[in-house]
Amino acid sequence: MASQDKRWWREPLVHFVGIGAVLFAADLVLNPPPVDSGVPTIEVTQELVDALGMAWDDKTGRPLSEAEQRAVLDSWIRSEALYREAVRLGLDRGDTIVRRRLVQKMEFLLEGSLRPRDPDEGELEAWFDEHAGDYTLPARTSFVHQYYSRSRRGDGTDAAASAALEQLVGAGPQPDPASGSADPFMGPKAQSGVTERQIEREFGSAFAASVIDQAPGSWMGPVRSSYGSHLVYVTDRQRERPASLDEQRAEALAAWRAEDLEVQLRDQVDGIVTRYSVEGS
Amino acid sequence: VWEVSQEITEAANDPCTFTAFHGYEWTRSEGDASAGVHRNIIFRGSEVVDSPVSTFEAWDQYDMLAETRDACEAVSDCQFLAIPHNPNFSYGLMFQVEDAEDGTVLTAEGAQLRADFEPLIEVFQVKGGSECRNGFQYFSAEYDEFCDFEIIQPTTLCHLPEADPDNCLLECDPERPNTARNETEDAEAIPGCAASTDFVRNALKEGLVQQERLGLNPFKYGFVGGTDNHNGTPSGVEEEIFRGSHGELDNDAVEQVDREGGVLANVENPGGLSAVWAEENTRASLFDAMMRKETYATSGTRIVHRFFGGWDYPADLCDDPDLVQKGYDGGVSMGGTLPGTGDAPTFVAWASRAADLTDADGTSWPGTPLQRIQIIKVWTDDAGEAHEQVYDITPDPDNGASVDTETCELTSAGSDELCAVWTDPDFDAGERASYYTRVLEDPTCRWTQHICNESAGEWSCDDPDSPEYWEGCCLPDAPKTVQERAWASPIWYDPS
Repeated sequence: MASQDKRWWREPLVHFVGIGAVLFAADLVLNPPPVDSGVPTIEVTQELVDALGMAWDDKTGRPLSEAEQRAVLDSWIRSEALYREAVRLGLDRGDTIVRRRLVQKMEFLLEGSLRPRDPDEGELEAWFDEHAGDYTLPARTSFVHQYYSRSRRGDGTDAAASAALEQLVGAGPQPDPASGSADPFMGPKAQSGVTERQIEREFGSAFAASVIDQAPGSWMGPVRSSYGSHLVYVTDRQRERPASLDEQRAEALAAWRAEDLEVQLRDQVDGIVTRYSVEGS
Repeated sequence: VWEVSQEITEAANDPCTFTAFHGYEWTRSEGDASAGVHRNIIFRGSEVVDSPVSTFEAWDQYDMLAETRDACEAVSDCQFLAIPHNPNFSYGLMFQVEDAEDGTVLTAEGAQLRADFEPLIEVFQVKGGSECRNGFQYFSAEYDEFCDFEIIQPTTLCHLPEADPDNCLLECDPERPNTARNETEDAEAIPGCAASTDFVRNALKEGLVQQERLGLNPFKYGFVGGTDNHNGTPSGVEEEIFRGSHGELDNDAVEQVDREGGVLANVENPGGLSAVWAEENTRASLFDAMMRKETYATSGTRIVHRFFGGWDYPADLCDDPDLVQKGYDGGVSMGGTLPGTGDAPTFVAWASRAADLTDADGTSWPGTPLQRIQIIKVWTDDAGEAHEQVYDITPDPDNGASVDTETCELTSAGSDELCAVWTDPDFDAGERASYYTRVLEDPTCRWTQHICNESAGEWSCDDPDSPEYWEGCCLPDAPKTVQERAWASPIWYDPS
């Protein structure tokens, strides 16, 4: 697949740098630079022994035996020696994984030093006005309905609903979902303050789209759902509108804080960058 | 991590719109012999354990339940439930009662823990179906044509003896009756054994048997389904767009359609869903509904389903617009228990297909018509033997519906709705029993077939230049269609 061809290890530049690094390392191993006076020390402190023991305990649920302790320490000393030798040979340089890990550690350090702030009311209001487009309350509707099942009535479904509509309209304006010859419906008989997304889960998208915009106060139909035809009486409708700050205060505050921390982190990194002179293009 | 998880959950929880529960998974896994008794731990409210009981604290599933109970009791208002998950992948351990070496595994205390904190079982997810499997029946059972559904492990299927295919490589371990080890020559195939104690129908049977022994039913499970797709897309269950779930193991078309080579690819599926009948979409209401098992699982479809059991339901209840109210008034909903009265209970099962949806791009996602509703009864007799029986309860179960696998168009249609009132014709007032439903859709294209069809114009099965993955599309035993379904939690009949 195309995406696999973009993997980093297929880049010629990576191959070039990688092969260079291997040659350089091989040269250092075969021709080690002269060691000055002292032999470097690997110190095995009591703290280290305790920490290794605790890690073992966490992992296995029991303390180290004497033989295991010797083996664990031996393994640690060997890896410490290899680690030091790798650093001495400069193998940490030009290594993408080491670089990424150290950058990550710096970011963790910086993030830990950030101080979460709260905006004052004016600051939050100004921010909310700037981001008003992100805070919209969806249209909501409340309705009752009568259901005419397509699987029970087949081609006569719409006609049955239309006939019942005349009766309902003639009977006056009060919605009474229990009246008339409705069929059993799996979903709710009445819905209150629901959004288009909520309606479509139970009636299908087409029904939801036509009901969400209906004006309240009269029976209408037949409106087709995934299951048949419905007569619908909308009792209340709220159009989509921008939210006020009070309606979305918790959400806005959380978003403000997250954005503020991002800005603080960016400033910190900018500060570090200014300690360097960046040259070239 | 637990604190961060709690912060994120609190921020996401929006009562009546989107409910987010505090929770985590207890995932013991080390080699094949110990995997697969995982639990999803879910808390009722904001009051949670100080720190999760992980496999480091408790390696054994019963120790984990006991320690979580103790940790939760130490926090006021803390309540939790545990959902055993992926039982089909448990190598026989999920519903194990006895061990060939150590004797009894399930103690009275363990049974109590399961009864108290495990109301639900996952019957379906990305890594396969757990309802039942032919060849792995428990006690007596007949061949059930709908049992071998999205079976994942082992990849070679064994049916009852007369249906055994020639390539069956399944061997039974005499030390562990009703288990089978996957000895396929394919080194990458899933290791370990499949066992009768991996499947939920068998657990329902064993639960009734254990109730005689222990005085309570340790496996009195309602049903849920899950995705567990590792993609961060919970409930992304559409066959049309599923493209694997385990990263490098199944992220290209070769792995997805090649049934021979796939470990966790072709034999997977897009996963299932859980539905909960609750008063409102809030933590407390949903949690309480899960505790009373008023749930149903699906294989990924959004079928709507009701199931009630009682004594005085009229034969024409399906025509009554107040069916639901009368269902509750005259008996119990899915997950409930009927006490013994001497009379055979009557059940009403009602289902409608998933609604037709259109997404923001204008792509339509039509619901699939329904084919049949079945009731599956499991029971124990006087001798302590467990039995099972499948009943078709809606008319015209073989409706002739089929799907054109080249276009994935349905060539004839089942029903928008199905409903039936049914009384057990073989009822014995003295026998413990449980009844659950299986609602089947008409067949549709399986996800792998959608992938094959994308290239169908370019290649044919006898073209030597066709790409490697295309071979998987030409295997004669590769499933091209799937019958999506829903399972309602059982209703138990308890003569005591």
